Amino acid sequence: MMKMIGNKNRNGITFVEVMIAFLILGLLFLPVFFFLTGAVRDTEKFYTETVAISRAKFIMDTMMFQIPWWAIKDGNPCGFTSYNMVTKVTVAAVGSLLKKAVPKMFDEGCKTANPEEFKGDGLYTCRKGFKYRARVKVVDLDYDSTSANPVMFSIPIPGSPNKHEFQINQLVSKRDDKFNLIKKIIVQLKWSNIKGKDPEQDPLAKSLFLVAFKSDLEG
Amino acid sequence: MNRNGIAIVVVLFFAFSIAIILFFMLQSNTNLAFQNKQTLYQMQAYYLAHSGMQHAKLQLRLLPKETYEFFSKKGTGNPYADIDSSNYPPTAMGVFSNKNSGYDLFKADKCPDDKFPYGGKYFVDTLELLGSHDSMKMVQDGYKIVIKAQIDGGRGKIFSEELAEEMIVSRYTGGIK
Repeated sequence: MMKMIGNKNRNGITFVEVMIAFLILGLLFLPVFFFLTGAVRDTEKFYTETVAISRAKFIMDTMMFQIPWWAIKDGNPCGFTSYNMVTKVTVAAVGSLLKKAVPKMFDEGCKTANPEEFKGDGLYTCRKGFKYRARVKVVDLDYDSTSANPVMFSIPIPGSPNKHEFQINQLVSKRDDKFNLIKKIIVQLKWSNIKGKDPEQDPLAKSLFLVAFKSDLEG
Repeated sequence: MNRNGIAIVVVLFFAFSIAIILFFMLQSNTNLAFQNKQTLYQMQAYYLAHSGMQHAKLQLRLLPKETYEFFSKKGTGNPYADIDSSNYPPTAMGVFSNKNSGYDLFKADKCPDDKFPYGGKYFVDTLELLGSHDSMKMVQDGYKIVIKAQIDGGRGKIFSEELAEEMIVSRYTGGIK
């Protein structure tokens, strides 16, 4: 027995070698574990970003292609109304469109005391519990507010250095106290990557924007 | 059998495998972030292109006779070249700027009426007269409009969108089909 213990030519691995092997394995796997934890967090980050993009698209699509030009009122947040200021009539079909579409666009907080009017502002909570604030600002590019640098409508006259050139007030009558043909629409989606947190309370909240110009093609 | 050095081979193989796994995981995450950004920029360009199309249609509605006369008097080039959002301060979004990053509709002082959250532009690339129906009761002209829009994503990245539409316009009322 003593002979065997004293034998220096032993095979196999010692306890210290096993511990060193574990240490090396641990060091190798440490970044993998960190990465996996980070990947889960990133997946949620990409999810919230995707939801925000699709909501912003839904809002802008509805405003650009569904809601009539006159039903969108300027402001931050903008307003939606079924009362047509041009014809001085409440349009029932637009009223029912707004009642269905606007709460879907903005969710909580878009209703006003007047059931025929809504505002472009709201708080939406997704199925996973993340919160998104949506707000739309609309600016009327009307004649009075842009008269220093107005949008012009011009066409060259062949064979002449002159142009047919018109300003907004020469092309349209005053409606809602404005000569107006184009509205600037800015949609902002703001969200927090912390579940259940209102993005307005989160200094690290993310935002995305969409900008478009809606022309009056109905008048 | 001489097994000296096998441990090094095993460890290297192991480390290499882990490095490969890490690389692909990192790449897939980077791809997702990149795709989201691309989608957003492309969408921004898409809405600017539609803005340009609406602007051109508006002018066609308002000035159908003048537009027709441009072509009937053998005008060449693009009669709607002035429809370029960067020509007019109310629609000029400018180029990418770090100053835009503070834009916030939820803070009244961070969203002045004359500012935009990002840079970009739209313009009428071409306007063609496809044909006219002069002998009909309703005098109508067919046009093809091509709009181009660009978003400035910063660092020299430009995202473009092109939109083409054909339409029939009543020459004297401006009604569009």
